[in-house]
Amino acid sequence: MFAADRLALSDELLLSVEKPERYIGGEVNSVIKDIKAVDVRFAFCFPDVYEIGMSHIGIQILYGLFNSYPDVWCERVYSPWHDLDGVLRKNRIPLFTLESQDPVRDFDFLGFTLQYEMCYTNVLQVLDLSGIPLLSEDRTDDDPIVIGGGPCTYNPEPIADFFDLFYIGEGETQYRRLFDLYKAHREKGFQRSAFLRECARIPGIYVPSLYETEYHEDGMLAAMKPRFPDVPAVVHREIVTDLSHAYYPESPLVPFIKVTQDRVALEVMRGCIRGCRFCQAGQLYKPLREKSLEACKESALAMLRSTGHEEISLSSLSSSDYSHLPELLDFLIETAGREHVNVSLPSLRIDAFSLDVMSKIQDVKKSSLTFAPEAGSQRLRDVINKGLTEEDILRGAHEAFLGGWHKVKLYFMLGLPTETEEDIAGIGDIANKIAVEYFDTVPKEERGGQSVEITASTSFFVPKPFTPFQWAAMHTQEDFLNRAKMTKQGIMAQLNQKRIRYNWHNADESVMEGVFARGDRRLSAVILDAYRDGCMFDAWGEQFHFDRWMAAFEKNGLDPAFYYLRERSDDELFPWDFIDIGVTKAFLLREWKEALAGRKSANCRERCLGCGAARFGVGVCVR
Amino acid sequence: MFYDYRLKFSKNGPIRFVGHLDVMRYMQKANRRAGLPMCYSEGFSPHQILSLALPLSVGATSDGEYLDMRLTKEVLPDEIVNRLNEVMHEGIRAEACILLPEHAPKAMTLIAAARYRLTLRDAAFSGNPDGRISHNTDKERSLAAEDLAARLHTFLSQDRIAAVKTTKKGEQTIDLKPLIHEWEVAEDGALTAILHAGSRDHVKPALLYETFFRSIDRAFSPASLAVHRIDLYEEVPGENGVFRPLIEM
Repeated sequence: MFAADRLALSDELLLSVEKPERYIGGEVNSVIKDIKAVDVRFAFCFPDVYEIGMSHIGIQILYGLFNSYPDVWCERVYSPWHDLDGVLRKNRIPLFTLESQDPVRDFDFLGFTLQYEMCYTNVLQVLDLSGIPLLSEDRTDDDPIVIGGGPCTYNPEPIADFFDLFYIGEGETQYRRLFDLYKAHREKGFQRSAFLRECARIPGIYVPSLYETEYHEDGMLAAMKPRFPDVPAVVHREIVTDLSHAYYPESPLVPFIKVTQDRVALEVMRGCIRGCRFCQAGQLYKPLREKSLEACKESALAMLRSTGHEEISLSSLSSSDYSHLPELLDFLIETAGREHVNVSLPSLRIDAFSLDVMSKIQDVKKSSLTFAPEAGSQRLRDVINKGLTEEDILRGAHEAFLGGWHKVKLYFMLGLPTETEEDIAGIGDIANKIAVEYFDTVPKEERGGQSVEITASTSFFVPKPFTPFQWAAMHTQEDFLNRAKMTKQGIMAQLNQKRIRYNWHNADESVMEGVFARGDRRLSAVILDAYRDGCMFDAWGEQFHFDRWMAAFEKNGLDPAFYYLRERSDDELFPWDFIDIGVTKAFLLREWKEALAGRKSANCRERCLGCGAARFGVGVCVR
Repeated sequence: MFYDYRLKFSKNGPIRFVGHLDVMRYMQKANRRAGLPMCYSEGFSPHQILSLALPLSVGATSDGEYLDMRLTKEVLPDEIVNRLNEVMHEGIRAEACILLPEHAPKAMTLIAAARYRLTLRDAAFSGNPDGRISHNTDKERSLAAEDLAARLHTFLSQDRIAAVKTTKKGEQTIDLKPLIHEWEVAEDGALTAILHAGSRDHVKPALLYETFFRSIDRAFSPASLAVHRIDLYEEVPGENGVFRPLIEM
């Protein structure tokens, strides 16, 4: 396929913005089709800057899958950076896709992958620059159908007003049916409302405009009901049942510029056996489904050949739990040696096996070990059901230091349910113990002028829907920052404090993320006002304007505290309860109670906890 | 044992916006897709042993780019060209390839001159410094366009062309005239010229036009200059001022 020779922007305009490569398309393995030969044009958007969006595997999968349909042409669009945003507005140039460089508003579908809450204003930017009405209710038969997918759609309510459809679940299964329905409606004379109404019957498709909500006087959700009898009250999540035979791209896109994930990403499994109680992905993608070793090998070779990438990495929530990991790594290391490819490993559990593997593929002097204890004490790690113990960490660190490593990264969360000052003090303690372990393990004469370098990072805990902590309260910014200060003091009090660096996150952003994560429909108006007031790229620290957000809440008579500061009662109706992910609310509540009692739960391979995901009848549930 | 090759390639179409370092990355990936037996450096992040002759500015097209690359096995030069073209569809095309003799100097050290075709995009005729949209009337524009060829001709015919070059050390006035080896202005104002190139006394097309615009008292924006590089030259050994392409076709 040859690249389109026509660009939407003049050379002068392209040369006036930073990194024009972001907007020209034509990358290796991008797909060009004849528009006369296709019936459905799909613009796929990752609502963030190109380098981030191009690093996402989900788009690569669906891009390849959609383009494998002869009657569909899927193209890409990313958020224009501020400089181009200004150029497009000033010159009244409509936002365009990369492949054909055609205006997005001429497409049949505009799909957004929603990977984090802080991208919501960017969704509005893309709609706005495309010239598509921001609100679903204002769109006409000529506007594209705006559909959202990805983890944020498991509570789509805060952005319900902007979307015509949401796809709940893994995209591989129902898009074909959606396209066929669309074609049928186009043939018989398209009427937006009639099409959307029929979409509601496709499994996994949620049509927000077909539901109405009622609230109690205190602001809590009283009911959410379909407006018509043929619209389902519950939307069930879609999943791929056989990962080994599911579509996976053989020829992923290769960007010209360096992007965040500039390598072949080999998905080895979906789902996770570990029930960390803060983790949304752990519940959303249950049950664990592995890709066969053969499928992984074939896929790895095909992608390396078609892309020419010099690096491959494994993608999954917990690669250490992949049953065939030793064989797969042997194969990759052997291939890598022959083909001069780097193997980059995601965070594996640090043990003798992973250290041996890592020593073969990394420069131990430069690379660092990563541990994610998430909490500073064993008590709190039991509350969050994180299996890692202090003994595990110190044993792993000991072996790593023997192997030549001297850099250690530690990740923690602050503000977890039940957290006390002692738990926070534990963060400094464990960092110090690792330093002591280094000095005990590596004699002075073997340190080669180096010393242990420990970096402890904390993020603020944000409760997410469909986790046992969906009932939990979050804390105020002041409280969060106080916890970060205590952590810092705890580290400073350590004997080896000079070997420990400490980083923490911005509390304002965590609070906003918390509001959107568990928000309801009424927030659409707030997001719209914040966007109109100039909020965009909220995930980019320096671009985040907390004051404008607060003004938008005030204007709409809503209090952010209602959404994030409040612990929910056991029987509260949540805005996302209409979605059935497989895992039941009863199970999550049971886990919440276990957490508060400080009791751990088994993982899926040890014992079935009856979470509900067994209804899919696949993966670890049927072993 | 290794074999050094010199590849000539062209770069046209939208890929003109892909910068020098990214072209290097692109070529490395293309070499891998083509399955060429590339020579790699040692260490945990092995990279191919390649060097580009002369960077090309972002936005410029070219029919004469050169890349030196080291292979571990001997491959027929034509086969290298064919195998690369089978896996490159983005606007970069392999045009020719030669096997270099042992210890041959690198292309980047040989470069003596570059031939360009230089044209002004519409915005430049209006002298609009931000190079965006021309607000001028047709009359003004056509007048300027008509004038361009004649004015360029006068400018280039001078005995001395004083230009201000900004280097790391600061501003420096140099005479461009001896660094312009050949030039021809077409009726439409397009300039074809061989400019001195390489590590010493390198003349960027934008410097030439900046100086020209200053001489006619107009603002110049580099984005308004469309640069097309035709070929890169080395000096014929022993013949001062005689140039030949790095690969003669």
